[in-house]
Amino acid sequence: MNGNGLFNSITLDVMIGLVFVYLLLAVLCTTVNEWLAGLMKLRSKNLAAAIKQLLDSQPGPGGDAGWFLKKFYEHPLIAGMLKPGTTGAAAHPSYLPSRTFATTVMDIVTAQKPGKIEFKDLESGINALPDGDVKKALLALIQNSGDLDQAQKNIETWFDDTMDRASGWFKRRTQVVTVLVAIVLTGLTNADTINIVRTLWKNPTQRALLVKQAEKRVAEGKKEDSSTSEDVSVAYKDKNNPLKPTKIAKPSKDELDALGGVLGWPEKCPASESQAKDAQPKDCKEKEVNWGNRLLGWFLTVIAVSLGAPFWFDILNKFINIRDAGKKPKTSEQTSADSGSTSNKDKTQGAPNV
Amino acid sequence: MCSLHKFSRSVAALVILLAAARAEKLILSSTFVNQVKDRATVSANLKVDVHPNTPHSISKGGSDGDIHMAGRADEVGLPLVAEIVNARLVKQAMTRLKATAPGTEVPVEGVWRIWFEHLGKDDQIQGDPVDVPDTSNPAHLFEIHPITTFGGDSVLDSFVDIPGYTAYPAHVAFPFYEQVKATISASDSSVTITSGAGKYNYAEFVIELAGAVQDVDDGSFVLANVFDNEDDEEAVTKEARRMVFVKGTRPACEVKKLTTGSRLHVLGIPRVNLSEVAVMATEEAAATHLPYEMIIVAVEQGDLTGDCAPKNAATLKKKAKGKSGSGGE
Repeated sequence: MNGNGLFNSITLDVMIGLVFVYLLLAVLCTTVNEWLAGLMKLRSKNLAAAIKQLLDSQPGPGGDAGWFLKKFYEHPLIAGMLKPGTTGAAAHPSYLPSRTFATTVMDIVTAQKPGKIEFKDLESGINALPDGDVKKALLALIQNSGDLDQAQKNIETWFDDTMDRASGWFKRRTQVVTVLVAIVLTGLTNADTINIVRTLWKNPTQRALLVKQAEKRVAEGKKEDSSTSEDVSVAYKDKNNPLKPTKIAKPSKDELDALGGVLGWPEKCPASESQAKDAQPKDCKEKEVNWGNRLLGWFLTVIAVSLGAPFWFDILNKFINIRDAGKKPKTSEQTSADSGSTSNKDKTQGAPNV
Repeated sequence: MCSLHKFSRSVAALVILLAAARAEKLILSSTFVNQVKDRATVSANLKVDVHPNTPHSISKGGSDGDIHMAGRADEVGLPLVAEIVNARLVKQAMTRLKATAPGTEVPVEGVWRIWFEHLGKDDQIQGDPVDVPDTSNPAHLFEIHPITTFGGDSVLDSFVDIPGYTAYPAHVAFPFYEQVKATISASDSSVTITSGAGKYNYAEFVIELAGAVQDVDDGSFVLANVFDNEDDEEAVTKEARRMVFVKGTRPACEVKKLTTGSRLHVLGIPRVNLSEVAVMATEEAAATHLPYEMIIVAVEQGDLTGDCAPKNAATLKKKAKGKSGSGGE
């Protein structure tokens, strides 16, 4: 490693190492986030909130608040989608087709007309509703439609538009969860940006290890045909339970091993000299921790991890490209030696095992 | 000569472009995925739009003795084809099918099957209006295949070896299944799968149970390693794959007698493993290999025991001697 300028310099390698650490932490953060979203039924809660916003402000003929929403969930088309034996978010589906929504709403409104309905039945049904937000919305949706099919489409679009906004709510909520997960992850792994930079700067072996893993990850991301370019895969931890596949979270073992040198809490130093003699030489707290630096380091890591894996992968790609661009051109001897070894390797791979 | 060369190059380029465009996107509702992912079968009121009157001939490849029917079903909301395997063995159902006029609704139960084999030009979105098909094998990614009940007639007896059919050997079919690339993502309401084309409908292979058989309402699932031959030591799959057995069939009866490590010689067809898809799907599109599982359609005659042997074993043997049928698609 020479130190000529930024290219191929220690500084660049430290930056690559740091970005790589951020990338892996961000991937872990996303995995935990998705798991939490499933556990907390965030999608179901989100859909329930959106439906409530649409239908809750419509009283019934007796003036009872929330009548329309209650009728909606009691309707067989919707009740059939609720998970039996559970209540609340656990019972609520995470998805509702707009066609089902529109059919249910129209059926509630035209309950007085069993069987096939026409546009005028829908119109009179809406007009018969007591004053409320759903009545206002439905009247607005059918006023220019003229026929039943168009009216149904307009109601479906109304639902779809609300779902688009609900997706926005979900994203904002997951962003909050992402930051919280990033804080916990940073604390658990003691991912202190300042300390990581310091370690990488002082320790060329650790730096080289991380740069190597970073290059490998970028290379695998580029070659789409590689069998190792999978973002995700699954496995069955319990072979007796084929109904429970488990997602295999990236990063790889090699990558996590590479992180070992820059993350984690230092072990306490032996209390006495005799203990110190028995103990293996390893990192331990040699001096008082500078909590100001550590908190700042954690803060920087949390901000970085919250930016997400795609962001850091993109940055890593750019740094690796700069590094590759700054490499000294190979001599003709090196090139021929390399190509010779590659072609031999290819031949070996293609040859039958004998 | 030169212009002929240019023309042929242009045609080749066009063919390549068309082939490249044949990776298709399937968008399923999350609710549907969660409902069927750990089930063997689905039920549907199938509007049978187009069907031939004779099953496929039997030899190899697509000449598999199945009979196709193209139709539409609200429960599925996708272009779909339903198939009876070993159609010649189930005369009552065949008579009913022949008498079915286009557009007639028939209650059908059978194994749900998603496989990216019959790709079309457009993405397929569950719940979108489905065009009335004009052929018995339109572009479709969803199948009810094999059918278990057609119009109330059970066709479970069709889950037997296809007499006279040469299936793809495991060493051909499984390396292909293992390497199909896919992208999987999810939104609040849907799961999207984009995959390259699938092939090799019927594979013959040996399974070695890697765990216990797990029963569900309409069948059983088990993880198993896959081998080419009975005495092979090296599996043709990287890891144990999930096998699907349909309740009431001979294969389901047979597998329940086995314990971990036991082997069974079977005939199967692949389908997307939605259980694995559901676990993988996140908002961020992820590249992966298409998760698949095998629907076990038959157990090799020699491996059938006692009460699991088909009632019509004698008929099957007779049929195996003479390959019959014509006009399959």
